[in-house]
Amino acid sequence: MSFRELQLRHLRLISLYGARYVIRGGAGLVYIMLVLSCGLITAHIILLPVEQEAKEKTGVELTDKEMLDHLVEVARPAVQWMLGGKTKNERPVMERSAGNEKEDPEIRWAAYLLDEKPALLSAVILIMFYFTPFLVALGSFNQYSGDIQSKGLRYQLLRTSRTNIYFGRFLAAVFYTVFVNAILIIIIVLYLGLKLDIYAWSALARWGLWGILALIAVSIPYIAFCGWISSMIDSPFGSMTISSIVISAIPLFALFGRATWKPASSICYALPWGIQNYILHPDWTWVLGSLAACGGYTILFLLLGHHHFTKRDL
Amino acid sequence: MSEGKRPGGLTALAVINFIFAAMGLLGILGLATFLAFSQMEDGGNPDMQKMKEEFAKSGLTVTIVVLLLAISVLTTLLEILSGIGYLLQKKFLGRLLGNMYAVVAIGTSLAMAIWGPQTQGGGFTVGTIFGLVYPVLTLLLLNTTFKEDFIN
Repeated sequence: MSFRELQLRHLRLISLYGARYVIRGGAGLVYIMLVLSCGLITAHIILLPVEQEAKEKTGVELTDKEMLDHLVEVARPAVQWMLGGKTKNERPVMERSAGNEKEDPEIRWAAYLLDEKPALLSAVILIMFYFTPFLVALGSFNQYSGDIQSKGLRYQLLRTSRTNIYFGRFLAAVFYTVFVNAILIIIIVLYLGLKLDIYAWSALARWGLWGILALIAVSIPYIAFCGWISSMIDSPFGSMTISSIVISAIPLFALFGRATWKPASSICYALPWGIQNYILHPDWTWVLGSLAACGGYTILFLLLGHHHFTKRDL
Repeated sequence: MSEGKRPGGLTALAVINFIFAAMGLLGILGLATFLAFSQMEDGGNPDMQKMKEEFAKSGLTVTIVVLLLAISVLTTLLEILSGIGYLLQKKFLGRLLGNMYAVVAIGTSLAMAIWGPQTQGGGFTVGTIFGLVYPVLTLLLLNTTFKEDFIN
């Protein structure tokens, strides 16, 4: 490994040029369309009952706040399930009858997201946590494979080192992801603040900012993972296929494996699937642990990818 | 970058244009069918009468439906022609018609948000923002990133 070749000036040049070029290359355009479409459709589905005349169909005229409270109670079990909580039937009989549900950590966690924070924004961010790994795979699959295939990287190697190229392009992907996620959350926060008179601007701004940071923290390990795959495979299509398959297969294996052998669900920790939700946890130790774990995954995938990139034939 | 080599982003814009044009064609078909049914005589058929009552309650008049149909046809045509223009890197067919499509689409979204009946997706909602994303992106990209790429 040749980290001594790292030069900040080269990193800055490669990363900024890469971030600007990515939309020109097409992958960036597709990524921004997918992220904005996904995020806005999710927000539209969540906000629709609060905005539309669905409230009239209950037979009672409800204010936006009352409709929101009603929706929060309807959505609470789903949010608890998404956070890894047990459904009522999965809970042991003694727990059900003893009314111990309030001690369930997922119930407290759901209450933190839905009651203490803007519930609508929490719901959008939580759902985007599940979409983000797939979207990142579609946006970051071609960090190196296209130029490896076209042999274009050889011309850059006359001017800079492989290490600078590797980390520069990784940073370019990160900058672009930050930009796109920030735009999405800002649009949703502005809409919630201007259209629905339910949440205070300060609460929306704080939670929106945390949502942006959380989405970025979730995205970065997957960008590093896709970079590793991209450095190994000469074909952009092959890189996209393998990245997407691995990212989607791991939670599926964990889900189905759990049905036959409970420890099989641990396979989800091969990627940040198992820990990413804890970034939204009410307890700061869990949040910091989750962020540290995401950092650890990032470093691991970067080292693996960098090792492969510096050793392979370009 | 060699002169004349089409950037991947322009190809992506063209493909997305064709996808939206295909969805637009389906929308045109739906609107045309809706218009045809609204003009038919119910002939005492209770289902047809109920459908006409729903149509009357929806806030849509024949004029509005015809207008929506015309705008849909115009937008779809502009999408297809500008998509072809992007692929061929033509100044008029690509850049000019692409800008025209973006302006028409933005205008239509805003008009629906301001004047559209609530029951038919009118009013300013997240859906309005969703409908504005691609035209705004097109307008930005055609006049900044891809400004110099229309060489024919």
